[in-house]
Order: sequence, then C-alpha cells, then structure tokens
Amino acid sequence: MSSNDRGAPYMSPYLAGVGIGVVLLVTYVVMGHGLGVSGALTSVVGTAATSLSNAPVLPAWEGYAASSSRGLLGDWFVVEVIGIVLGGLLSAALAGRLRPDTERGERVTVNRRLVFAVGGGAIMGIGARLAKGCTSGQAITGGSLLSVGSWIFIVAAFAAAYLVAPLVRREWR
Amino acid sequence: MTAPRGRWLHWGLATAALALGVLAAVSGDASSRVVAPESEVTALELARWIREGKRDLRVIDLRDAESFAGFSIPSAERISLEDLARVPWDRQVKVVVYADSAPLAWRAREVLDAVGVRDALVLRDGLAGWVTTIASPVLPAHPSPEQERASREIAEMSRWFGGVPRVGEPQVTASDSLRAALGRIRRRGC
Amino acid sequence: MAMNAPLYETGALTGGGALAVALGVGVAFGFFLERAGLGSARKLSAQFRLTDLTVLKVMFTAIVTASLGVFWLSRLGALDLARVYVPETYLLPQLVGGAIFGGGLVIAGLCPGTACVSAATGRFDGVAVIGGLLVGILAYGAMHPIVERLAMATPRGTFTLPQLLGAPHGATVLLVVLTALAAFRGAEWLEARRVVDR
Repeated sequence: MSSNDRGAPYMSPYLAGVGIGVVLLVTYVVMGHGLGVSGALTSVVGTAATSLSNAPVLPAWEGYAASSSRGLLGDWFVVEVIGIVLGGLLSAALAGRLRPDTERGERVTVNRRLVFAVGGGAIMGIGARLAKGCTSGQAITGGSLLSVGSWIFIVAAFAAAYLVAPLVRREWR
Repeated sequence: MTAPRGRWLHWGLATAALALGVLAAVSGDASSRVVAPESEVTALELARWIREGKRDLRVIDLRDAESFAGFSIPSAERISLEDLARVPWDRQVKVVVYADSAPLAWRAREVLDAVGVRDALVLRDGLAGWVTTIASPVLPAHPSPEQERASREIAEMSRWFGGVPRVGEPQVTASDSLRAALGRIRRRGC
Repeated sequence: MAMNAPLYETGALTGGGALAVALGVGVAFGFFLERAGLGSARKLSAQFRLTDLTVLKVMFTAIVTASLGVFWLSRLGALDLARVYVPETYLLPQLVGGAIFGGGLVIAGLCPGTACVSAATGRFDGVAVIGGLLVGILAYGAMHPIVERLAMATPRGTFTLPQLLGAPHGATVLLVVLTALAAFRGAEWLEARRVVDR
C-alpha cells in the first residue's frame, strides 16, 4: 500500500516505528528526557524576538531565549532538529526521493497549497505552545512515559483532525 | 506491504510486544531507585533540615551570581565549582549542593569527596526539585488518603518558606525570578 | 553508583557530548520518519481520510517500543526512572491545545517534525509549514498575557496513567500494548477495505 510517486518503496511503518521507539529509548537513557521539535522552534523565535526587540526577556520566551555563549547552537533541541533535517535528507537521497516539489492535490494550485501550509502551520504553532509540546514532545515522548496530559493531547489532536478533515478533503483530490 | 516476508515481520513484532507486555504486567512495578540513596537528598528532606535549623549543614549554590541573586534556596551560600576546592571545609559538616544542571552538581560532589567532605549530597532534581516541591508545588485537588498527609506537609512547608502551593487552580503570582526558574525547568521538555 | 543512566543527569556526560548525542538522535529520528514516508504531506494527511494509516502505525509502534523499553530497563535496574523527565500534565491546556494542534495538522498536512523532513526532501510545502509554525509561535508569544491563565490552568504536575488508574506500571504498559495491537488490526482492515473501494 505504499503508494509512492517517486523513488524506492517505503519501509514498513511498524519497522520505522520500532526504529523511532529505540531512538527515543536511547534519548531517555543518555539524556534523561525525550524528543521535541516545537520547543526548538520556540527557541529560534524566542531568541530572535528577544534580540530584535532589545527588551528584557518577555514571559513568553522565558527559558527559550538562547542563554549560553554558543547561542542557538548550544541548545540541545535546536541541534536535534538540525539532525532531523540531515536524517531526512540522508534517507531521501539514499532512496532517490530527493526532488524540489510542492506536494498538492491535482486540481490545487501551488499558491493555494502554500497558503494552507502556512495557515495550518501557524494554527499548529499556537496549539503546540498552549499544550506545551507537539507530536514528538507530547504524543511520542509523553505518550511512552504514560503521562496523562500527553494522552489527553493525543486524543484531542486526533479527534479534532478527524472533525476538520472533511473540510479540507478536496485539497488532496 | 503484503509480501510474505513483511507479514512474518509484523506478526513477529506483534508477538514480541505482547510477550514483553504480559511479562511486564506480571512483574509489577519498575524499580526507580538505582542511585545509592545516601548520595542524594530530596527537596522536602532538605526543607525539613533547614526549618529545624540542623547544625553543621551547608547548602551550596553552584550557579552564577546573577541567578543566585534572582532566586536561591534560603540559607544557601554561593560557591562556584572552581572555588569549591579552595574553601576550607570542616570534614564533619553535611553539605548539600545544587545547580541548574545535574552534571554540575554531581561534579561538585566529586570535588567535595576529593577534599575529604564525608557527607556531601546532591539535591535531587536540583533547583527544579526545590521549586516544584517547596517554592511552587502543585498539589492534587482530590488527594487519596495516602497522598493527603504528604500533601499537607508539602503545603505547610511551602508556606513556611514563603512559597505558593497551588491546588488545581493556577496562581500566577510568582516573582519574576521564580518565574525565570520555572521557565528554565519547563525547557527540559519540548 | 553502580548503574548511572540517564548518563547526562548523573554527570557521566557533559555539554559537548550531549550536543553530539542531540545531532545523532535527530539524524536517526529524521531518517526513520522519511523511511516510513512521513515526509509526504499527502501520505500523512491520508491518515485523516482513512486511506493510509501510516501515521497511526508509526506513532503507536514507537510509543509501544519506548514504553516497553522504559519499563524493562527500569525493572532490570539499568535506568533510574525517577530521573527521566516526564512532561507535566495541565489538563485543560493540553485538551484545548491538542485540539487546536490537530486542526492545524490536518490543514497543513504535516506536523512540526515531519515538516522538517518534508523540507529536507526538497518540498516547498514543508518549508511553508515551518514558516507558519514560526509565525504561530510568535503570535502565541504576543497573546501570552491574555492566554497565560488558560495555559497554566488545571496543573497536575507529573501525573501518569498508573497513578490515574491505580494500576501497577507493568499492567498499564500491557494495556497500551493491547490497545495498540487492536488499533493496528483495525488499521490493516480499513486499508484492505479501501483498496477494494477505490
């Protein structure tokens, strides 16, 4: 069922899941915490906002503005996200899936797809800050550590996604 | 992925997960104490010691002067890791060290060990442990009977130290420096 | 100290080493996401059209693997669970934030991690989602004074399913495993049915 318009077939989702689970486990054993992506993006925004406004650290960016002398590159989660990009690049290159493209439904214009991507991204950004994490930090990390709040996040996110899905169905036709 | 090889793989994974899960269910609770208990002290225990005015206790803050001025544990003195070996130590004294990061605190304990302090302890979870247990604890709104006693002690201890115990409802009255400490703690997650 | 994991928390690993680990962990995470096809917004969003349930399979397999691993490493005394950071529970913010996040996810077609992978494979929609995320996070910062009360409401600290259910850790892990296996069974059945439909 791995319908794939470019490159080699995808890996079994269960095998990839085991791989990610092991990566997560290694992170617990070595670091004592899990993965996170929205936190790293918050560090980027927080550092930029703090340095541009020249103001004292606003409450919203507490703990997120780069404090170490190495700046953003001293932030564990920022380095982890750089790794994610490199890992994705490596896998796509090995599978022959590396190609400039804007993925969209057949009857959808590039501009329309990009507007949905930016808009959806912005909504996700707000939700992730409110929930204190995203798919990696809440769902996978908190979920595997059996945090009640993380399971609430998973259920709420899936429920809302299924409610909204019919409205954006034609974006992929 | 309906190739026979894929199917075998998936059944294998499912069986392994089920077997490990069933074994987990019958083997009870995970053990969570691996570190020798005498190398660490909990925030609550430290709070009891400070409140009782325990003799020969020194609480050492390893952070920089600015962080120390912002928020620190009552009765703590600031000594940097570099200065730790230069300070004269009474070997009978009980020393509790803490920092923003655990590695720093553990290194400090090694230094103290090397200069002959016999009773050097690391504050469990560092300043974060103090903030979440004493300065700004979140107490269960509907504690079970077992939780109730511990809950009451934490609330009382927190108030004694001028903390803000929260029950269910948010209390955004923390001082700026305490907020900054809380912010840094949150940073451990996503 | 016989066993000292987590290594970073017990001081066995320091700053520079931790950043090297961050890079390695990130590369492996991004690699597996792309391998599973989750760098594609079409494939990811098909989860919500119920035509391709890769998201569910990858996510729950990762959760099952990691939660079994955490239990057994801890049970065998190799990992001090009390030192692993568990995201704190805030009931209301995680319910509302999760719902907002899910709505945004289905519109964008990618989540933050998979957007990074999508961008890495040369997809401009992936780059646009990351741009949107940055805008959203900045907007949240501006709204912070208004939403702070909501964001900090109903705190429960470190609150786990075993505590909620009053069940042993191991039994809760088994419950997660059984739920996941049932979900996988349902996912395979749905996918098989959809192929016939099309």
